[in-house]
Amino acid sequence: MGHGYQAIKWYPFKRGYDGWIAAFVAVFIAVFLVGLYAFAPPGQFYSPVQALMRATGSCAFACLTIVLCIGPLARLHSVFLPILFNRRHLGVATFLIALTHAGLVLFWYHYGGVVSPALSLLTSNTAYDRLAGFPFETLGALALIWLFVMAATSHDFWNSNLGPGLWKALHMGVYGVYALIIGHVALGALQRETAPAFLAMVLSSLGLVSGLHLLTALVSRRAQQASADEIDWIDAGPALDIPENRARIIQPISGERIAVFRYAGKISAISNVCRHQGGPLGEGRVIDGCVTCPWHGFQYRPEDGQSPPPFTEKVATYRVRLDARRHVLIDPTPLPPGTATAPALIQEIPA
Amino acid sequence: MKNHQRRAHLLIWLAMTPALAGLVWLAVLTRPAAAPLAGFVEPR
Ligand code: HEM
Ligand code: FES
Repeated sequence: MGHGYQAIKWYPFKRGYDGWIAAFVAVFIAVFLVGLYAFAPPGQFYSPVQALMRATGSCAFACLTIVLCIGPLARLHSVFLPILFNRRHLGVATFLIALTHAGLVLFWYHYGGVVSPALSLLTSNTAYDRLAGFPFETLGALALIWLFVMAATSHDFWNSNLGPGLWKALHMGVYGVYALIIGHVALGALQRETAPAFLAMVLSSLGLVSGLHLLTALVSRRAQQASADEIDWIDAGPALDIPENRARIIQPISGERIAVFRYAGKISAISNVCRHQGGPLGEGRVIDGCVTCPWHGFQYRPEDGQSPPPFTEKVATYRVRLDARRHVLIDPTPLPPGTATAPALIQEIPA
Repeated sequence: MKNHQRRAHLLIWLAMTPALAGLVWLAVLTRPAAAPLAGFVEPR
């Protein structure tokens, strides 16, 4: 992580973030309850527990939808980066709301019998072989377990303890959770609720989440392809076209992307992949002389790819030079992470 | 993100989008004709 100053800059925002989450949850549940009672067909009655059970289920679904949209939105536009920074708080909130929902269900439908509520939940319906009447609760339970795993490992302690690879794999499970919840709702609530508002809720979430992910996947394929006419060094385009303190991202013919930064009259190239969670360093900026990851603010010196003390993260660096047209040339073979290499000086007229 | 992760994300969503939309569609198609009104599901 960069240094104290990075954390301090985010700090007031971090507390505000949790406030916004709490406000969103409160407003969502209030509006849902009012809507449920106001638009109930004549003769229909909801007990408060049932109403709350549905409000918390829907609220957890809404939070999950937002959590999933934050990633692609942040890739599409930098105004969404601040909400990415503390996305894990919203993830933990999703788990807690879903837990409340499941607790209310167990209490309402499965408590007070001879068998334990959990056993009753899992055994009262075993029609796994058909869609109508499918035990959709099991899908919700599986999703809840995985939400718990992710909430419990959300702290950076676990990220560094499990290693970014395993951590990332665990947390990619959120896509599976989303699929389970779509199943949970389609085979559960949508079977009984014929009001179009409920179908619209599910379809708009699915459209938003899928649409944004597919859109970003397509947009982020756009990295400048290295031109193949240079055999050893690849041409990364004119140095002066890179905005000051910003980077151009280059996709070499093989290997990971390279972030080519321009700062203080110099050009340096480092790996585009942040050591923290793989954030795109080339979409970040040089702040206080360090490349700053757009996702959570880890920092690296452009000259040697090392995080400033006391931090110890290192990324690969690449040798750079300028040609006579002041195009940046990069040796695409990565130097070992943390290797110092001389930046190219833009002012120097190359031979 | 590493290149293989970027590819994995694209493939996951290319597969998941039609699968989930299909599931919702099927579930709505096959729902019982005389669906009991929600709220009348008695506590078991
Ligand atoms: C052990 C875990 C879970 C159980 C047993 C469970 C059970 C249920 C039940 C019985 C219903 C139907 C309520 C009714 O009678 O109207 C329901 C609806 C719902 N559940 Fe769950 N659920 C679980 C987990 C989750 C999770 C993790 C989420 C979301 C993240 C979720 C989201 C929803 C939604 C959106 C609805 C529809 C609410 C509505 O009618 O508008 N559930 N769940
Ligand atoms: S700081 Fe988290 S991915 Fe770079």
